[in-house]
Parts: sequence; C-alpha cells; structure tokens
Amino acid sequence: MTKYILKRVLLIIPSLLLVVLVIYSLLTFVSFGKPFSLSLYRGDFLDKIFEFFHVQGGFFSRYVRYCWNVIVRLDFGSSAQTGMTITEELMPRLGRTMLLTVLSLITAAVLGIPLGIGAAMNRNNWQDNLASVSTLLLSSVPSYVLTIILVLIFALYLGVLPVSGIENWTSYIMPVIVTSMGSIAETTQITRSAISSVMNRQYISASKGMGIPSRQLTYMHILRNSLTPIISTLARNAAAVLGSSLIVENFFTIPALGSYLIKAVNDRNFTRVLGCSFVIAAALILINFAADLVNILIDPKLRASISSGKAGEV
Amino acid sequence: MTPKRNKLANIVRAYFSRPLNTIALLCFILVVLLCVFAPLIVPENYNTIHVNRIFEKPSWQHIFGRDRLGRDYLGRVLFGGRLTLKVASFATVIGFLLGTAAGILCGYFGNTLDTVVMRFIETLEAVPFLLLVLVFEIMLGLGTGNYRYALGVAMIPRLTHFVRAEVMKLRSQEYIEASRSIGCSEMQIIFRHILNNIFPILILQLLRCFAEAVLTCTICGYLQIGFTPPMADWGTLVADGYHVLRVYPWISLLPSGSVILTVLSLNLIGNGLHDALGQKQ
Amino acid sequence: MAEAQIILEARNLSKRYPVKKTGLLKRPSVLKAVDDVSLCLREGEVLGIVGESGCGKSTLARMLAWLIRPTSGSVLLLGEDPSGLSDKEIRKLRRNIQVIFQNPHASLDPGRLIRESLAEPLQIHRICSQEEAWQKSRDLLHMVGMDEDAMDKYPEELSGGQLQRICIARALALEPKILICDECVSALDVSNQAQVLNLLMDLRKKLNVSMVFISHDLRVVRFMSTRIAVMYLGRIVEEAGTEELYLNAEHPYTRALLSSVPAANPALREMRFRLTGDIPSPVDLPPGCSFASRCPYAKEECRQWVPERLTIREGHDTLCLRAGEINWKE
Repeated sequence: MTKYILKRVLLIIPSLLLVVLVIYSLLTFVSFGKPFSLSLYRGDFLDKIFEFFHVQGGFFSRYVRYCWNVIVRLDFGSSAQTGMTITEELMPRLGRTMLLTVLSLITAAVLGIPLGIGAAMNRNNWQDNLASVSTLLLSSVPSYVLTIILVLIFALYLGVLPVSGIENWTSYIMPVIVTSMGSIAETTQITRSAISSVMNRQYISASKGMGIPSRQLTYMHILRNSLTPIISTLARNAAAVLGSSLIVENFFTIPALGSYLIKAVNDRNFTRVLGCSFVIAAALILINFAADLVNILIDPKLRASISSGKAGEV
Repeated sequence: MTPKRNKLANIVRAYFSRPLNTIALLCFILVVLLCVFAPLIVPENYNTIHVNRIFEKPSWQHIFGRDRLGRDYLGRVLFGGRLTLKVASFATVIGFLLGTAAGILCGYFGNTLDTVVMRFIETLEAVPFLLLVLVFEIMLGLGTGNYRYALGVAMIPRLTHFVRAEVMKLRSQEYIEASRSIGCSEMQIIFRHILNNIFPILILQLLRCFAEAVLTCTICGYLQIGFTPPMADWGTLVADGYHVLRVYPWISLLPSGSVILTVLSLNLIGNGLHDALGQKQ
Repeated sequence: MAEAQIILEARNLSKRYPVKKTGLLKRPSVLKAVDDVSLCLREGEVLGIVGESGCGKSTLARMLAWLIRPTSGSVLLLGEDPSGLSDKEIRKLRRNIQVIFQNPHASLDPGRLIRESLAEPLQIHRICSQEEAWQKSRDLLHMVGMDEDAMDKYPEELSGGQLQRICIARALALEPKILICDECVSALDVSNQAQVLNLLMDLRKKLNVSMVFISHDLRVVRFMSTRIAVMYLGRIVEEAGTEELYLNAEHPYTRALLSSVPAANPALREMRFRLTGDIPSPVDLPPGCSFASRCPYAKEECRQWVPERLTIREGHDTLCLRAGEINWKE
C-alpha cells in the first residue's frame, strides 16, 4: 500500500519534467530554434557540469538549466514588460486559480449531493422531473451565456456582486457558480443513480427485515454506501474543473492563470507561456494525485485490488 | 422487404412517436439549412459597414437589426452560424474517427496496445482544454481558426473510453469466437460484428459530441481565440454585444439564442434517439 | 481391419496461465489448465471427453480447434501444424474443423438475421454468390429439421433448442470433417437435449463427420461416443472405447464418475464409492498424482511420483500408478 503511494509520489517529478519538455520543444520549434529569452540565473554548479560535457548553450542544456532553476530556486525568469520576475506574477495567480477550483468542487458537492438525494428519494414526481429538465437545459447553455445572465441579474440590476476583477470575497461567488455548473449537474446525476441503486439492493431489504429501528440508521447506511462513487467521480473530475476555471476566469476578467496564459500566447511571450504551462501542469498533477489519495482512502475495493498486486491502473 | 429494415423502421417510428423529438429534429434542420444557405438568404453584402446606421433596432428590413458597425445583423448571425457549424463538424469528424478507431483497437486487441494507447489518451485527457487550444495555436499559427484541430483532439479521450468499453463488452461474446472458428479474420470480425452492433450507440455519441463541439467552439469564439475580425462565430458575436448589453441587448441575445436553440435541439434529438433505441433493444 | 486415418491429433498439449500474487513472492503461480494431453481422433470416430467443471475441457476444446494457442505441444489437423502456417492458410484450413459452443443464445450475433449468420461462413470463404448462399442456408435449415421461416428471424425470437440446431447448421455449412461440440447440450432442457443429440447422430451418419464430444454428463457422452477420454485437473486419466470403459474402468476417478450416475437398476448401485478429501486448486498442483488427495486407493508413491500413461489393454490407456493392481470388488 505505502509502496504504491510512494511509487506515485516518485512519478510526480518525472511527469512534470516530461510535460515541460514537450511544451519547451514546441516553443523552441515555433520560434525556429532561436532561443527565446529565459533570463535565468547562471554561474552555479550547472555551468561547471555543462562545461565538463561541452554542452553549453544547446537546446537540452537550456532545458535542464530551466528546470533546475524552477524546481530548486523557484525561478521562472523575468519578463521585460513588467520588470517583475515571472514567479512573482504567477504565484498570486496560481492562488486564485486554485481557490476557484477548490471552491467549485466544494460547491458541486454541497449543492449536487442534496439535489441528487432529493431526486432519488422522490422518483417521478416534480423534483425528479425538475432535475432532469434543468440538467438538459444547463447542458445546452454555454458558460458565457450563463455568465451574462448572472451578471445581468446580480451585478447590473441588483447591483449586489462585482462584475470583474477581484475586490473581495464576493467577487468569487459568480465565477464559482459558473465553473461548478457542469460538476453540479454531474454530481446530482451520480448521486441520484448511486442512491437509487443502493436503495434497491437486496441487503437494504435484508436490514429492514432484521428490524433496524430508526429511519436515521437507514439513511446513514444508504448514504455511507453510496458516497464512494460520488466522491470518486468528483475527485476524477477535479482536473476538468481546473480546466473549466481557466476558461471562466476570462469571462470575469479575474487576473489568474487562464487570462495570463491567453495574453502570453497572444503576445508571443514564450517565457511566460512556458512558466504558466509549467505551473498549470504542476497544479494538475498534484490535483490528480490528491484525487487518487482520496479515492484510496474511501474506496475499500480499490485498496484491495492494489494490495493484491494488480497493476495500479484501473 | 427484409425484417432488417423493420428494425430501422421500428426505431424511426419510436422516435417520432413523441412530438418533442419531431420538433427538436425540425428545429435543428431549420438551423442547419439557414446557415448553409446563408449566402442566398442574406439581402445585401453583410459585411458592408454603414457608419451612420449603427445599432439599429430590428425592423422589417433588417430582421435582426444592425450591429456595432452598421452591418446587417441577420447576415452576421447566419454567417457566424456557418462558421460555428463548420468548425464544430470538422472537429467532431476528426475526434470521432480517431477516437472510435483508437477505442476499437484498444478494446478489441487489448494487451500492450491497449496499455500504451490508453496511457497516451489519459495524458491527453489531463491537459486542460485551454492549454491544448493555445498549444495548437502556437504550433499552427495564430488567428487562422486552427483551434478546430485542438477541438477534435480534445474529443478523442471521451470517445475512446466509450468505444473501448463497449467493444470490450462484445469481444468476449461467444459469437465472436464462433466467427473466428468459421474463419473470419480479425478485421472481418470487427466490421461484420463489432461495428454492426455498436453502430446505434455510436451515432448517439456522435450527436452528443457534436453538441459539445458547438458549445466549445463558441466559447473559443467568445474568448477571441483563433479569430481575426471580421471573422466571427456565434461566440464572438455574443462577446461583441457584452458591453452594450443594457442598451442594445439583441446583439448578444440573438446569437446566444441561436446557440442554445441548436444545442438544445441536438440534446433533445439525442435523448429521443436514446429512448427509441432503448425500446427496441 | 485397417485402422482409420488420424485426422486430428494433440501431442503433449499444455496450457499454462500465470496467476499474479502479492508483491513479495518472486515467482508467479501457474495455473495448469491443460497438462500434457495427447489425443487422437480417427476418421469416423466420436471421441468423448468427460470431466468435472474446471478440469480444462473447454480449454482443450479450444486448443483442438486452434482458437487458443497452446503453451507447449501441438495440434495437428489433417497432419498440419498451425504454428508453421500463415494466417491465411490457417483460415483456409479452418473449414475442416468447426465448433459448436455451449450457449446457443450467445453463439449467434444478436444483431443479424439467421439467414445472415448462416450465410456468413460461405461469404467469408467466397464459396458462392449471395443468391446461392441464401439457397444453401435454406437447405441447411431443412437438414437440421427446421422450418424456412426461421431465416428471417433474429436470434432473440427463437428458443435455445432451435438456436443450437441453427448453430449446428452453420457449422455444417463448410462441410467440415471434424465437429467439436463443447458442452453443446448442457444449456438445454432434457427434451431439447434429446432432439439435438439425435440430430447429431443422424448427421454424423449421413455426412460421415468425425466428432469430439465434450461434456460433464456421462450419460450424454456415452450415448454419442465411440471412444471416451476422462479428464481430471488438466490431465487425461483414462482413455478407452466406450463399452470397454464402462465395463473395465481402471482409474479410480473413472470408477467414481461411473458410480455417480444414477442407475435405474438397483443392482448396479452397489458399486458406488465415495471420494474423500477436497479437490485441490488447479493453481500450484501438489506433487504426484493430482487425484491422490481424494483417491481411496492412494499409496505413498502416488503422492510422490506423477504417473505415466500405461496401456493396460489394447486401445485402453490409463494414468494410474496402481493400474491393474486394484481389486475393484473390495
């Protein structure tokens, strides 16, 4: 068990380096081999190694130096435009993106699960139908339209929430709603089907037959057993929510990784593009890792299949 | 008349038995026809700028009014739809073909091929869509609508997972083995038996993928990725109207409505087809 | 009397599957589904293979039909070894050996009409035109005693017995020399069983097809076969002509099988004996004779040495160290 987790931890750095290598190669390819400025610190022992192997200034040595600088010294270089180091630019933006992602996941759970329970408990009456209809509608509406509607209602007519930028905690409300929409719909559906299937299973009837007294026990029983697929689905979708938030950030002009990336690409500022992609990739890998940990924690079947030596992939 | 045609007829009959399905299909066909025949419908050269007549409200002459630069908005919307549908279809076809092929190969042959390809697909899946689009943008040049390839590639993982799961269900059936013992080659088995049996649900997935492609395409348009003016799709048009939302709401509303109408009708068609197939099988 | 030609031969056939175990053990365990099996089928014979579930019969059947590759050993069809042939040549040779599977509902493509399934073998091998294929399908249906209107039905509309007969028809489309029946009546109810078995007997006589008939049901195997091979945990423990086996079985397992058949005649019931002990797991078989753990006649040598195949009488082989010694009357 611990061996498996350890193996996954050790895989993080190589995966990250691989992703960076791919993007770095792409960028170099596009800039026709002209080295775009990475403005990185020199003069440490890497120089001596490169001298030893006679690989000064080549494609690969610049890649290695870049990775080294990033991982060891958290130095992504600096941008000529603002004079700040890219690290300084990226870190607060990373914070906002992660905040948005995490809040959206929590919202999806907090809103989706009760809705799903309601839909499962009351089959074929107005709650169930409402759920189906709203799922259909929501999946037909693009996120920017949703944004516009919310902005119209809450910002322009009611004047309650800010439209763009990050002023205080209220600025996060609408972006979180829009980002979590898809996850809410999916969580509701998964919850609904998980609870229905658990309710129909025979061992529930068996427990009823045994005379378990209170309704509370039955509900706890049902909930506990159906929680596993729900949470594992959420965990698996965490990466998609991150992707979603990158897009929604642009609608609300939130200064975070998404808008940063788009602007960097449009400006052809490859240093920024590389740094931003690095950070996004790192965030993704970490999110997936955390999601896997969560899955292992809550899913006994997964634990069993790992312990019995099956390959760690599903 | 062979009974095989009966099976198809049954599905069609089941589909049209619900009026909602019929309406959805008609709506979608209407949208497609309007966009396809846009050059014939639009009265004047829609790109003509009339600076003195900007933001005119909808009137009988210009059903959708005029936009920021005085252009006929109906033309803008219809041609925007053309662009959206073109890009979405292109991406869907690419994603669908590649995804289905990968899914069949992985699901049917399994073993090393399966492991290797699925690793690759999982890596692809993990890349956020925005990053993927921008990477393609960088590779293929900015502003030339090259994000259609990114869109197609982004659709591959979902299709591969789906097709692979279905194929794996089928490949352990005894009639596959029976065909093998008769002397079918693997390719023949794939075409005669596997494809034949997954065809209906494959079409269903195609519809859903196309709906999502339309949505995603408009998002790219909204964010002005891969578009240079005056080229515009529905998303770009919505973005154009965002700032004048209170005063001239139709600039954003009309293209938004078109997107919603298209995608909603597609989803309804998909649901109807799903039910019609369920009844038969 | 000249011996008929050997048309299907299995030489030292083995199929081993590795079974993964938890981390620290170095060697994966091995599941020996089929262990060093040698058989031959002569022209005009029906070779019955009988044994409990899990003894490897189906794996053996599939290896004989060239559907699974053996881990070691070879299967010679009409003298040809598939390992030396190209895929195309193998497919051509497949016309000579056809399989009928256990589950008739799963053996036919549910999305295709019966006529299409029947015509498939003819189309694959490009034997005749479409029209001729339909005609031939009709003839095949008649041959198995079914009515023409089944042609335009889907498998889901027909019963198990009917479907199995259609599978037989399809198998015969290519006029094979050998038919392998893998538990082909086990999924049917008794009356359908009788119909299908009688049909197979008729066809065998009419078309001079040789068969390998596999089942766990001794009565069925006895009815169909001219020779019987008894299988236990992947090994053939006894092989003899049908009547010879019934009268003079020499392996304790065969005796146990025979005595477990409900006998209508009470006088025959005295011969029952019970097996003791548990059936060992086919993974990591214990040394020695695989039957030793349950054999009431087992001795020390039995648990240490794997028995070799002995020919007790002409045409009667057995795999028992104590062959010939045991006095069955005790």
